[in-house]
Amino acid sequence: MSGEQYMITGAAILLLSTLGLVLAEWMLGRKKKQIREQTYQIYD
Amino acid sequence: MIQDGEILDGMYQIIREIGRGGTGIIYLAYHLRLQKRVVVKKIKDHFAGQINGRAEVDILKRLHHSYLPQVYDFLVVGTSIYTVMEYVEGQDLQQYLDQGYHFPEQVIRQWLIQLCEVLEYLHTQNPPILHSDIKPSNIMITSQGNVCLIDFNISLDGEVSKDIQGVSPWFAAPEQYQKAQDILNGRKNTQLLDARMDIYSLGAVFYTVMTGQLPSPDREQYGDILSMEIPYSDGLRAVVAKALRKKRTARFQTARQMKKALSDVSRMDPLYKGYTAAQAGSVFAWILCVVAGVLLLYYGNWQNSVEKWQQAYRQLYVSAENQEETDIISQATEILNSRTYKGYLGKHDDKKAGVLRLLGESYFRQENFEEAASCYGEAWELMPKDGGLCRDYTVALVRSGQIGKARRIMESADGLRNLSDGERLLIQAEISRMAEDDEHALEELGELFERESDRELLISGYLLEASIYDGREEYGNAVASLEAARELDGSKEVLRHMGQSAVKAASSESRKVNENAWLQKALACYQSLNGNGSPSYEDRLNLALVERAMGKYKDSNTHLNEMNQVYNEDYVVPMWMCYNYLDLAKEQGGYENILEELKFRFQDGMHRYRSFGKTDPDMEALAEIMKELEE
Repeated sequence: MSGEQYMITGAAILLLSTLGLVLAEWMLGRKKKQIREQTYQIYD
Repeated sequence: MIQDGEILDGMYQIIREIGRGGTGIIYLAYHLRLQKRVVVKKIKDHFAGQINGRAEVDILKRLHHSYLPQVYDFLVVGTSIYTVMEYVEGQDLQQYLDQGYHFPEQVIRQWLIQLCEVLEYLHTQNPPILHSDIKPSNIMITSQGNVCLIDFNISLDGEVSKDIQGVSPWFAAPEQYQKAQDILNGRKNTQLLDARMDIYSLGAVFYTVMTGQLPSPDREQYGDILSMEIPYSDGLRAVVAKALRKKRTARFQTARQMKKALSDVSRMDPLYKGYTAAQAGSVFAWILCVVAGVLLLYYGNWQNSVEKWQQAYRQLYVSAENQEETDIISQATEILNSRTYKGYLGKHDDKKAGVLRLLGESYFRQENFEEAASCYGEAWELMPKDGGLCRDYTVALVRSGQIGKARRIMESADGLRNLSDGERLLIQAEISRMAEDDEHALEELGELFERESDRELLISGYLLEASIYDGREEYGNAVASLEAARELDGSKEVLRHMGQSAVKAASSESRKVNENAWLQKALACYQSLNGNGSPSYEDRLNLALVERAMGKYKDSNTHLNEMNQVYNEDYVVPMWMCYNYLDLAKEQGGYENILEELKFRFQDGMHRYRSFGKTDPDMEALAEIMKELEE
C-alpha cells in the first residue's frame, strides 16, 4: 500500500469509528433514558 | 425494675415502659423542668460495664441531625445507667409492617436516602459511630413522614465493637451475627466490625419492607429480590440487593455511596448497567480505532514523505545526469528546505549528503567554487568517513581560494585518514595551479596518472590537466587530456569540455591550418551531447554555432528552428538564425527566398530582445545590419 492509501485508511477509520461511537452513544443513551423514564413513571 | 411514676435523678418522672431492646429497657418519661416528654433508656447491666465514661456520652450529646433523636443526658443511679433522649412521636416501622402497610417506591426511596444521610453522619464522626442495631422497630416514622433512627447506644465504634451488642438474627450483618454467636459460644473472633455492618442492616430492613419477608441470615438474598414479583423498580431492588450482599466488599462501602445510588436508582438497573458497560465498551473500541487511525495516518505520512523523497531524488538524479544545472539547484534546494522531507532527511544523513554532493557538483561545474565548497563541507560533516567528499571539499576550497583551509584539512587527522596518496596529489596539483605554478601542477598530475588507478580520480586529474592546457592556450593538449578522460567516462561534462576545447583550438591562430578538423571534433562532441537524452540549452545552441562555424548554415538553422519552438522567449536563437540567413545570402549572392524569413526572425528576435531588458552587442550589431539592409 502506498503512503497515501495508508493515510486514507487511517482517516476513514477515524471518521467511521467516530460516527459509530456517536451512533452507539445516541442509541444506548436513548435506551438508558427509556429505562429512567420507565422507572420514575411506573414506580413513583 | 422501675415503677411508673418513679422520679429519676429528681428530674425525670417515669410514665410507662414503651419497649425492650437488645441492650436495654425504654421508658416514656416526663422532664419535670422542661415539662416535655422524653425517652429514658435503662442500659442493661451486662452492657453498662462497657461504657467508657462521660467522654462517650459527650460524643452522643454532641450529635445533631434531623433524623436522629437528641440525646439530653446520661444518668448513673446506683448501679444502673440511663440515657435520656428526645421523644419522637409517631409509630415505628415495625408497627406499620405489623398493620400490613405497603409503601410505594417513592416513599421507600425517600426513607432510604434519609437513613443513608443519618448513617453517613454517624459513620463520619471521629471516632465513627456504628448503630449496630438497625431494624424496623428502631426506625420511627414521624408525623411529617420522615424517619428517625432511634435506639443507638453508647458508641459502638470500631474499637468498642470488639464486644457485641445484642443482635437481631434477621437484620444483623452476617459478620455481626457470626461475632455474636462466637461470643456467646466462647469462641475467639477478632474481626472488627465497620460501617458496612449498618449498610447490611439497612438493606435487610428494606428487604422486609419491600417483600414482606424476613431475610435469612444464612443465605444470599441478592437473587431473591431481583426475581420477586413486587411492585418496585429493578433499580431499587438492585440497591437493596447490593446492600444485602454477604461479602462486605460486595456491598456499598459507605452510606454516601448507597445514597448516591438511591439518588438515581435507574442507574442500578441491570439493563441500565449493561447499556452503561456497552457505552464504555464502545468508547474503548473508539479509542482503539483512534489509536489505529492516528498510527496509520502517521505511518502513511511518513511513507508518503519517503515516496515523495524518492520521486524528488530520482528527478534530481536525472537532472544531475543531464547536468541541467538550473534544475539541479532548484530541485536540490527545494529538497533541502522542504518540510516534507525534513523528517526523513534528518534521519538519513547519507541521503542528505547525497543531495548536497549533487548540488556541490553542480556549483563546481558552474565554477561557483565557494558554494560548492559549502555544500561539500556540509555533506562531509554528515558523512565524515567519505573520502570522496573530503577530496571534493578540499578541491573546492582550493578553487575558491581557501588554500590555507584546504591544507589544514589535508594535514588534519580526518584528512590523513580519508585522503589517499592519489587524492593528495590531485589536491596538491590544484594548489599548484592556483599558485599559477603550472609546471609543478602538471608534474604532480603526471605522478598521479602513473600511480593511481582510481577511475574517478583519474578523470578529475585529466579534467584539471585539460584546464591547465586551456589556460596555456595549448588546446590540442587540452583535447588530448579530455580524450583520455573520455575513454574512462563518456559523461556530458567531459564531452562539453572537449567540445569547448576543440572550438577554442579551431579559433586559435596557431591551429588555423587544422580548423576544420577541430570543428569536426567539436561537432562530434555536441552531436553526441544532443543525441543522448535531453540536451541542455547550451548543448543545443553550441551544436548550431559549431555548424554555423563550419558554414553549415541550413543545418544550423534547422537546429535553431527546433530550439525556437522550445525556447520561445529567447532572443538569442532567432538572432543566430538571422546571422545564418545573412551569411547564407552572402554565400548565394542574394536574399532570394530568404528575405521574408530573415525579416520575420529579426522582428521576432527584436521583440524578445526588448523585453529581455539588457544590451547585447551581437543583437545591436544585427539591428544595424538590418537597418542598412532596409535602406
